[in-house]
Amino acid sequence: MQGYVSSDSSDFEFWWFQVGALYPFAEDHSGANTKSQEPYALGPTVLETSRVNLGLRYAILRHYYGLFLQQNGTGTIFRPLFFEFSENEELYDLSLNYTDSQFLIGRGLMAAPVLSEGINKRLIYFPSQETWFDFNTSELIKQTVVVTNYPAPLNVTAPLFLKAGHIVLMQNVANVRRTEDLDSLYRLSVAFKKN
Amino acid sequence: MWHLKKTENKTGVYHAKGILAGIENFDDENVLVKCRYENCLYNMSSVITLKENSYDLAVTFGA
Repeated sequence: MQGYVSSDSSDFEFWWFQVGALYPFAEDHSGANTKSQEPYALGPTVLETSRVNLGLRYAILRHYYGLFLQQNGTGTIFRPLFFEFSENEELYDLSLNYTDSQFLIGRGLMAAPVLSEGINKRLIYFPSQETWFDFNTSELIKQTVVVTNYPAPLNVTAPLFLKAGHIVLMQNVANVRRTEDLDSLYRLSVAFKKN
Repeated sequence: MWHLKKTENKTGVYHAKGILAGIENFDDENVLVKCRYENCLYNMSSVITLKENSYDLAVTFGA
C-alpha cells in the first residue's frame, strides 16, 4: 500500500486497499516520519474498506497459490490484457486509459481498480470474445466492449470480473485474522460457458 | 448448497474449469515440498445441463 516513503494527505489511501489487496505481495506499513498506516488509524471508512478488501484477499488466497503453482516458478499471475487478447489492437493504445489500468489475475479474473483520486466509477473494457460476470454480484455484463461509469464505490472490492468458463474457489473468511485461521469451508464461484 | 443465477433463459450444456491447491497450510514446507515438488494441484471441472424447468449439475475434482 502507499505511504512507505511519504505520507499522502489525500483520501486516496482508501483506494489503495482496493488495488493493493489484489497484489500477489501486499504490505501495509509506514516509514520514519510518516503517519501511522494501520487501517484503524486512518478512520472508519478506511477501516471498513480494508476489512472488505483484505477479506477478499484471504478468501481467494488459495486461488492465488494455485495460480503461482500452475506457473511453476515462471512468469507472473498478474497479466496485462494483451497477454490474453493479443489480437485486440485497442489494447496497445496507451492513450486509452483502460489499457494500463486493468489486469488479469490468472486467466479467469479481471480487475479494474480505480487509480485516480475522488472517483467512484470508471470506464471498463471487456474483451468481446468472452462473456464476463461481476465477481461480487454475479451479474452478467451485457455490454459490447466498453462500459462507461461502472460503479466502483469504496465499501466494496475493486471492480472484479470472472470470465465464463472459469471457477474460483473462495475460502470462508468469517473471523479470520491470519492465514492460520482459515478453515475448510469453501464456496465455488462458477461462471459457466456454453460448450 | 447451490445458488444458481441464470442470466438468460437458455437450455444446453455449459462448463467451467478451475484449480485447487490441496494444502492445509501455506507454510514453506507445504508450499514448496507438498505443492511444488510433489504437486498438490487439483483440477476442478463443472458441467451444468440446463433444461426447461430444471438442471443437472456435476462438479469433479481430480489430480
